[in-house]
Amino acid sequence: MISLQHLHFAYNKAVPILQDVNLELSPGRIYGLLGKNGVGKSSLMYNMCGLLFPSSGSCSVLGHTPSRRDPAFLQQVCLLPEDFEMPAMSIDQYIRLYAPFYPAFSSDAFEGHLQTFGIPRQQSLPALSHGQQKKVLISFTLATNARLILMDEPTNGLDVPSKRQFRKVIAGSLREDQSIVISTHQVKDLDSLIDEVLILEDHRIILQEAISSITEKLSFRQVMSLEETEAPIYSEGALKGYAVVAVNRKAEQSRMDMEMFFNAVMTEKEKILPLFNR
Amino acid sequence: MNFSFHRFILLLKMQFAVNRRFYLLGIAALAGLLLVYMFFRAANGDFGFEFDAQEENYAFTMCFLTVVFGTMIFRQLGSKPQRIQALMLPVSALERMSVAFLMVFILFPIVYTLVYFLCSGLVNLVDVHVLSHPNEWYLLNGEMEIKALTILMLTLPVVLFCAVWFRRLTFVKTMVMLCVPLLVFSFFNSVLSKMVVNNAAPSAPKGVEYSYWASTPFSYLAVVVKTPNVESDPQSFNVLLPAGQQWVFTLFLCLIPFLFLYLAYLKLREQEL
Repeated sequence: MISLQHLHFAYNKAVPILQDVNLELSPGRIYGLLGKNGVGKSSLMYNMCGLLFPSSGSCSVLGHTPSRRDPAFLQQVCLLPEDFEMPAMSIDQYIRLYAPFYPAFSSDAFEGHLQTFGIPRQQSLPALSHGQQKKVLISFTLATNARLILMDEPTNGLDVPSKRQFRKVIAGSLREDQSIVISTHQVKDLDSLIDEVLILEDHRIILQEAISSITEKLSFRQVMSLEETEAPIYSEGALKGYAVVAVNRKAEQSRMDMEMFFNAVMTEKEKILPLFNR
Repeated sequence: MNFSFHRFILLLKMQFAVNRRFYLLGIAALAGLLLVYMFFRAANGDFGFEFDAQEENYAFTMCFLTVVFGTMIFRQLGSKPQRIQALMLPVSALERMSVAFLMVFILFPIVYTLVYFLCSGLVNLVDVHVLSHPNEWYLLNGEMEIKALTILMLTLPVVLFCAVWFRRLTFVKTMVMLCVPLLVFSFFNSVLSKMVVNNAAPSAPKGVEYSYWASTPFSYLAVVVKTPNVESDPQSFNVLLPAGQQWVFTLFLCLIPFLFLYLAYLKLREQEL
C-alpha cells in the first residue's frame, strides 16, 4: 500500500530531516507514528501525501507517486493537519462544497461521527471552538473513506472526553482496504487504538512493530520494588512502586503502556531494538 | 495534462463560496470609491466629469485593479494551514490554473466594467441634468479599451506567475517584477538605439548632425537631423522596418504571455508546503 525506499528529505542540504527511510505499510491497520518534537514526523507524512517531495529515494503510495498529486491519488488520501483554518460557512455548506471532490464520501458516516462528537450539523463553522472545528474536520476526514488517512497530532486541542470519543470513532471506522497513520508526540492518546508502532528517531524509522509482537517480547508491569522482578530494561517511579518494562521471558500477558514503551525505546535503544531486529 | 470539467466547476463554486464575503465587500468598496471620485470630478472640474476623463479613468483603473485582483487569486497558498488544504484538494494544477484564468482574465474585468459603467452612468446623469455639464456618457468606444485589454493580456500572465511564486507581499513583488524588466528593457533599447545613430554619424554629410529621438524594437527608429545654415527647425525621420518583417516582434510579444502562463502552471504543479 505504501512503500518508501531509501527516502531522503531535507528543507536545505545542511539539515537533513529524513535519511534513508524504508517503510512498508499494509492496508487494514492503524499505525502510530511516534517521535520527539521536531524529529520529522510531519515531514514524513507530508512526503507520503505529496505535500513535500523527497530529495532522493522512492515513495509509492497506492500505486501512485505522491509528488505528482494526481486528483485520482488525492481522492484516496486524506490528511488531517495539525493546524487548520476552516472557511466562514455552515457545516452543511462545507459538506456541499468539499464532499463532491471525494467520490467515496459517506454523508451517513459523517453524520454519525458528528453525533458521536456531539456537534450539531446546523452549526456555522466560525461559531465553533477550535476543538469543535477539529472534530468536524476529523469527521470529514473519516467520512471521505479515503484509502489512506494521515492524521497529524489529531488529539491536540481536544479535551479529555473528546480524546475518548476520538478513539471510539477511529476504532469503529477502519475498513480492510484502508490504512490510518496517526502521528503524535502525545503517545498516551494512542493507547489501545493502534495496531503497529513506528518510531522515528535520528532521521529514520528505528522501529516498526505490531503491538502483539511488542507484548510478546516485552512485559509491562507495576511492582512495589525493583527487587521483585528480574533486572528490568526500563523503569519509572509510579504512585505505588514502579512501572517496569522487562523482557517477557515467561510469555506473560500484559497490556502495553504506549508511553512507557516509547520512553523505554528512547532511553534504552541498545537494549530494546535488538529484540525486534529481523 | 489532467482536466475534468466537473472538478473545474466544483472548484469554481468553491472559489465563490469561500471568498463570497470578500468579493461582495470588494465590489461595494469599489463602487463607493468610484462614486466618491466621480462625483468629486463632476462637481469640481471646470467641465464636469468629461468623456475623455471617463475613458482614461476606466482604462487605467481596470488595468491597475485587475493586476491587484490577480495578485490575490492564489492567496490560499500564502499561509501554511490554507496551503495544506488547498494542495490536498483533489484537483489538478490545470484545473486550478483554469479557475484562476477565468476569474482574473474574464470575470473580474467584466464585473469591474459593469460596476464602472453603473457608477459613471449615475454620475453622468447628475453631471448633465443637475450640474449642467454637457458631457457624453462613455460606454466603450473600442479605442482605449483595446489598448487596455492588450496591456492586460500582456501583463496578467506575469501577474499570475508572481501570484503563485510569491507567498508574501505578493502585490509589491509583482509590481517590481513588472516594472524592473520594463525599465531595463527601455534603458537598453535607448542605449542601443543611440549607439546605432552615433555609428551612422561619420557617414553624414559635412555639418549635418544625427541624433536619436525614439525607437520601438522591430518597428521604427526616429532620428532628428540638424542641417547647418538652415533656419528652419531640425527635421525628424522615422526609419521604418517593412511591415512584412515586423511579425518577428509581434510574434515575440504574443509568445511572452503564453510563456508566463506555462511557467505559472509549472510553478503551481510544483508547489510544496
